[in-house]
Amino acid sequence: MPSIALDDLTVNNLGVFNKITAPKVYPEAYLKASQESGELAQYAYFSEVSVGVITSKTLQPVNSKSPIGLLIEVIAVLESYSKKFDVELKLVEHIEQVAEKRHLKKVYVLLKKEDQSEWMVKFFNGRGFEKEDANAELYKGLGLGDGLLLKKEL
Amino acid sequence: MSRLGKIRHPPASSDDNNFKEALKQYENKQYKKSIKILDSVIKRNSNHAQSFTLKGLVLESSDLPEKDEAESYVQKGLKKNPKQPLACHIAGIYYRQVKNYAEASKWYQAALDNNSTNKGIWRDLSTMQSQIRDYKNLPKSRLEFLEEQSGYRCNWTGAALAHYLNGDYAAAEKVLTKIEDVIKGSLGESDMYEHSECHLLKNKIIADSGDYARALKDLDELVEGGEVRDGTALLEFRALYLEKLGRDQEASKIYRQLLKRNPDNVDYYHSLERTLGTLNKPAALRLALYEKLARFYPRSDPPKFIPLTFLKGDAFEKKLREYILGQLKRGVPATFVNVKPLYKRKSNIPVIFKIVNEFYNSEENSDPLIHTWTAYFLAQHYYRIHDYKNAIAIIDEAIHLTPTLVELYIVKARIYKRINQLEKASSIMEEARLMDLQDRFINYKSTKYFLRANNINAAVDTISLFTKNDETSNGVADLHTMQCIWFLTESADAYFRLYKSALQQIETVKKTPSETQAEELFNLNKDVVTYSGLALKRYGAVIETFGVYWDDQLDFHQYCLRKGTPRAYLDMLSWGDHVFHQPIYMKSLVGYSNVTFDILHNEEYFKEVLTARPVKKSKKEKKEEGKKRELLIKYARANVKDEDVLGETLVKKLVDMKNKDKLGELTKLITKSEYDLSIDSQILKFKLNFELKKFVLCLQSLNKIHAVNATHPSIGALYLKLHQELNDSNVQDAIKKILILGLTKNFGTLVKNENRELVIDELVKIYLKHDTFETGLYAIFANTVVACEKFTARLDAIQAALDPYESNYLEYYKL
Repeated sequence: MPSIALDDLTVNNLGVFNKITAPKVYPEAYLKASQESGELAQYAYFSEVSVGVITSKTLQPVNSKSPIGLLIEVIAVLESYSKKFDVELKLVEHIEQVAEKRHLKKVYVLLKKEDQSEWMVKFFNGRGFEKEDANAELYKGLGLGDGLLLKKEL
Repeated sequence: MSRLGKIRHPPASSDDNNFKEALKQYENKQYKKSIKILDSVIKRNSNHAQSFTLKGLVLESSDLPEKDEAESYVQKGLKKNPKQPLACHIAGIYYRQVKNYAEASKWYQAALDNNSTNKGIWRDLSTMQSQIRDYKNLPKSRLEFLEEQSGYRCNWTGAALAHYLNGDYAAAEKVLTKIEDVIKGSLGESDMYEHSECHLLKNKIIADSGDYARALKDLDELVEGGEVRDGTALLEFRALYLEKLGRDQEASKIYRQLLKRNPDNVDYYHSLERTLGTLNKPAALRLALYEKLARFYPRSDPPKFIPLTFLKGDAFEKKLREYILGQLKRGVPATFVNVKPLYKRKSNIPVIFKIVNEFYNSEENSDPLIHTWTAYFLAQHYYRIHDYKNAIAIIDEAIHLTPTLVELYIVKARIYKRINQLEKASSIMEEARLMDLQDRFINYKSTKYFLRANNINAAVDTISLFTKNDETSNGVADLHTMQCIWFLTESADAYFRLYKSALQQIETVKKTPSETQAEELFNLNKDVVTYSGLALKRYGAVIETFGVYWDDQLDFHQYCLRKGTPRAYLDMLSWGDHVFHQPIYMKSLVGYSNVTFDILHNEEYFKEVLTARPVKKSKKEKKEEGKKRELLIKYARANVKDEDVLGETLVKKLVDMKNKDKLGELTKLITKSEYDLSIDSQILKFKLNFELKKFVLCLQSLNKIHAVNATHPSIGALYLKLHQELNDSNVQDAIKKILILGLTKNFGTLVKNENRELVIDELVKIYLKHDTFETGLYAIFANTVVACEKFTARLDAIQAALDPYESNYLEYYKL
């Protein structure tokens, strides 16, 4: 099976982002911010062709000085490459590693309604992500309301 | 540049002393001071020839306002005393500086003939002679200079090359042998490259003299001596000589050695087969040979591919399947390009399709990327067989599978181009470009597609991401400096199309009267002038760039000798001999001539438009128009200092010129690119001479075209054009006789056939039989010579058979 490699987003390949997430379109400003976040956003390459993307950010409660973990915002893999070559796995593993490196003990993922495929939920559950109450006191004011919030303790 | 420092002066008068001082000032670039001194000399002594010529040279080098008078001073000086060696020498330098090498050669020679003691002139003279290919006189200058400076090997090599170029192989060899003997034993490591090249040069000279046996013997000695370092050349020479001597079997062994060195060189495989004598043997035997070679060189493509060119039937299908699937399964993007040559044989096409299509639909093909590349192959297949509907369907499938692959969009854009949806094609290419902003290739593609869609501003904005834009707001000037030929030709074509479109729009506007009609027509007429001017400028820029290429040879006539690379020098000379015959140059010259002829044939119209006063306009309208013009200039500026950005002055100059001068520039260019074997060059020459009413020369060109390709589509139209002159009472009878005689040679009974209908039928049948773009062009041309339904009917049929892109392109030529 071809190996999956990850690499940073660059100013020159941002055009690929929305091709992977289609039909969902992210605004230019979001792409730019993701690219500037460095290792927090990655493309996944299948035999040197970009087929997947993940973005994440540090989750900072309103009343706390230190972040509590990383939040995966976008995870998308082209349909024909999805679910069978462990592309999603490689992407999530990467974010988990980054969290560990930064001594953050939690990784979250916020699945918007349209992203909550059975497979996706099962995939995250399989990796130890569990449902978390997005309306809990800790997450107040972070705008996590609409969507399924999953959490993994590392 | 100049080597005036070495000019030795005769006993000095005060004028001579002043002249000497002026010379010094010139060499120190103190042009104003130099001129001042020279003026005083000239005032005192109006016969001081060298002061006149020097003044010309100084003016030419300077930026002084009288620069335009430079040549007149040079000529004055030469007229006063054409035998004054200093004056002649300076004239030589002047003409070299203005790139008139023939004149320069003449005056250098004159300086020497009049007892100039400056032997360095021989070297400059030999450079000029090499540049203008005056090989007859070259040996003398090289030998004279050799005598002056025999301590340098380069002068010996130069003398030998001069003999060689002049066809005197024995003398060339003798010179090389002599210097070899002289320097034997005194060569250091740093001399060995030159030594090796000179050995090989000598060997080549022996072979070129036809004595392959002696060349082979010399080669043996070279191998034994171990001084030649180009191992490939030694083997290639040997194989060639053996083959020439009929020792094929030995040659084949050498080709096997060469294959060992480089198993990817296709020529070696063909040569091996030629020398083994297998080319006419049964396919099975040839296949066995290649299978064996493929085992030896498993990573090389030729032994796998070449059998596909001669196998047939089941054996072909089996091997082809291995070849194609082997690549597709590895996901090789270029698979289609690799098998594309096989499409030339029509019977191959269904076999290729069957193999790939089966694979595309099979279970085996589960990797989405391989699946994508296979769809990519099929899309190109459909494209190649002009089935654009299926091509689009399958490339869309591929894009659906892997929307992040730039290559897929390139093919998709190409398909849309073919169906003449040029804007859509360019937007698809742009979509691909946005995925990879750092890729120059896709940037170039996108630029080109914008140009094809006549969207010049978008094209310039796109390409400018990769150009140096320091002095201008975009990259157009930089692309001129960088001699970016593809951009220049593509934008020239775009301006040409815009010019023709403006003409087309004029026709439409004329048909529909309205309130704004007058104003619209005024603007469109201006567009015609602007765009034809810009097309001329861009085609002209390509022509100029090739002139620079040709000029660039100048430095190498000495440099190659000094660097000890005589063989590379010979390659450069033969490149230089054909630099103006290259297709891309010819294309631009044809474009340039087309626009020039258009303008000259419609002189009155252009004159009228150039002087037309605008329709009364409000302030706002004027402002808008000014903005439009500014934008046009912004995207067209090819040079910071250019005062005629839009080429309007160029057009004006052309129509205002005296009749006899109008074709002067074109005559120069067409003469320079004349080549018997180039049909385009001969057609241009025909058209030019037709304008000049030199019909016998037209006949000559027609015969040359006929000799290269007896059924070339241009022949019918050109024949008709020339034949018409037989009925023109202004043409002299003697000329008519020559024409009849000449035409009868190639066109037999056609010439005397009075029935025009029958003649045209015949011409259509013979020369306009193919459904190609080129044939379409000449059907249009023929129709302008004799308007006739038969031509237009044939043209319609051709257009119907062509793809929409080419079919539509022909429309531009109808206007």
